[in-house]
Amino acid sequence: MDIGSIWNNLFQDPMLNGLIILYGLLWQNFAITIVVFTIVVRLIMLPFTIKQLQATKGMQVLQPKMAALQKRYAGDRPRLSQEQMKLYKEHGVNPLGCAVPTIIQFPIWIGLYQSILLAMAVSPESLVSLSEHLYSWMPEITKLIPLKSEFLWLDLSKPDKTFIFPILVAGSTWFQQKMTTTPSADPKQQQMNSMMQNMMPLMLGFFALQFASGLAIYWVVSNICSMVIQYFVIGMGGLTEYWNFAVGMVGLNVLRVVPVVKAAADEAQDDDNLVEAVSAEKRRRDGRARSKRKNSRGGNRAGTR
Amino acid sequence: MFSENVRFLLVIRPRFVTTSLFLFLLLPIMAASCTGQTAPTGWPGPIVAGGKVYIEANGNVLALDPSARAKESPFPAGDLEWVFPDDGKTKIGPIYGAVVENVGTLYFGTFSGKIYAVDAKSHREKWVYPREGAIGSIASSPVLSEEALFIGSSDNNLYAFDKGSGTLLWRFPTGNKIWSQPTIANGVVYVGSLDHRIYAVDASSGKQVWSFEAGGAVLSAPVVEKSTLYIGTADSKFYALDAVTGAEKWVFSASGWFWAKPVVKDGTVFAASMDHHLYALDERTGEQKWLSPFAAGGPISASPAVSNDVLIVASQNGKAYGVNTADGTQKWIYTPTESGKMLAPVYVSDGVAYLNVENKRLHAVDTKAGNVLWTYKLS
Repeated sequence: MDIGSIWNNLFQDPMLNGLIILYGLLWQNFAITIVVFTIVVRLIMLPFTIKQLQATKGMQVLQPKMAALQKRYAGDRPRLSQEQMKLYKEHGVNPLGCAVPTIIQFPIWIGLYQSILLAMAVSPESLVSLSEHLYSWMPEITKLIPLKSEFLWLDLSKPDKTFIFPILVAGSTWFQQKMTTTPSADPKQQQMNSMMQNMMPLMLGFFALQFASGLAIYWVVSNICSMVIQYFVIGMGGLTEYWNFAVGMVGLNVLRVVPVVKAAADEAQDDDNLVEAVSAEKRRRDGRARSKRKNSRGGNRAGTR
Repeated sequence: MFSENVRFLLVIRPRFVTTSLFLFLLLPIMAASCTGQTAPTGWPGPIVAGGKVYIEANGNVLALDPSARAKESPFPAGDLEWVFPDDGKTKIGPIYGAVVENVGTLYFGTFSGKIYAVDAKSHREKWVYPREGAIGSIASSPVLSEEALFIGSSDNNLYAFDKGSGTLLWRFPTGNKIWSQPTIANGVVYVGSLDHRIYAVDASSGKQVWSFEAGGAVLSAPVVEKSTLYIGTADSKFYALDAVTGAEKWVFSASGWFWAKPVVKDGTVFAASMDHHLYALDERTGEQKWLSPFAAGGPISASPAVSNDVLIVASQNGKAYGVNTADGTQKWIYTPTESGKMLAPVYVSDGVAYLNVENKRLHAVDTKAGNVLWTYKLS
């Protein structure tokens, strides 16, 4: 069995057939099917997503301390990584904690994406491909083919000519990215973050101009799901200042939120102040002790004399 | 040093690593969605008319001289071979099915949504519909009557045009795309639609005579023989209907879609299925005639063709088979040098079968023994 067959049997075919069954249950409306199917898959993936976000949150909380280390060990890369590893260990944060769950989710995303693409069967070739993936032991599925691709002003198998969905794809991607991206003390990292922040939405918006609008629906719903989950796990993230600005504008200051990283930075600052105060106190005590010893040594010498 | 760099990336730039991985996996999928996976490339079938082979390749219709191709002469060899359009720039788009020839004129519809009539001698356009813009994508061949041309479109309509002038005569709407070739018999046009229905439409008025609801999309072209219509559908069923009333005469069930146009010969209906099998059915009862159906080793969606007592079947496994019509035994097998699905209809003329292997190469094969006579690179 080759990799292609394993992929098809494990991910592609169950997802595709599941999608079509759902289409049959949801009044044969493919747009609603895409929305529901995306939400269902995101719910199945929720444990991984939460784990990933918690790891991200941990990383965000450590950000100020990381910045301090980067400043201190600038130019000494091995030492820097050693110190940062130590910091992660001390705080029980696994730096790969956000990467691993994401990697696990990749096949699901790809399977979901390809399933939607396959199910729409926009050309005779894609209908041939679709026929290869349908479960022949479930004849009811075949009876649902071809799926009805009209929804509101959209033909789900064609790009949205009104630009509404490409704009929604770009906009939701920007918001979703902004939510996860936190300001970095490292200018290089900050620059890269900003670049990714702007490039990704533009790139996906451009893709949305080319690909079937059914996929654009998937992308928008997927971004909204991500934002909702992120809100409950790590809060508003990078969107905090925009949120605070917006609620401030309408006079709802009670809804203002404190950014996780700022809180962490304040905490780090408090820690530093505490450490500073403890050190100063220690220095004072040591100083007093030294002068006391000095005085007592001076007294003894005078007595001897 | 390498491990240190890796550790540095993982520890200090985990987000960078994740994003890079994400983009690495995402971009090919996006690219596939925009170009590869759904981009229609067509499955043009060849035809032979006036001693020339006509086939679409790379968005152009080619006229090939079999003798020049057998000698492997550079294309075009002399006046017999040409390309339409010949400006070197214009592409008419992919074609599904074959070009149809009638009294020196070639007719075809393209997936770009235009229908062309081209003079086979001068290779000049006689008419095109529509002149500006396009109708829905066309994924089948036209069928001709004495005066008219009938063709289905992805805009759900069956169109009738005046064959000589290209004037639109009528348009018959169905509930979904029409991707199969219509057929005409006794003044009635029969066509299957992806709306799961088979329609009989009066050829002169465009009015519906009857319609039959099947259990799945209709992708196969119908064949009418002795007032019975034979057609397979995507619900894995093969139907025999009364061509006059649309009443079901018999139905045969397989375990895969029927996409290929059936062949009717000497009281037997040959129906190829995407369940990898070719069935020989009694035209009156629908019962199987062979001891067991012929197994092709891959799905069959290309319409087969018959030459004397040999049925030539092209499969998606990239192989073509010569099958004895009498008992369903394999007479020969042809394996092209290049791999690729055979989706285009097989064409047979003067003991030669023409096979298009995934638009890569056209193969001319002897129908008696399955020996290759010549090939021509299409892509």
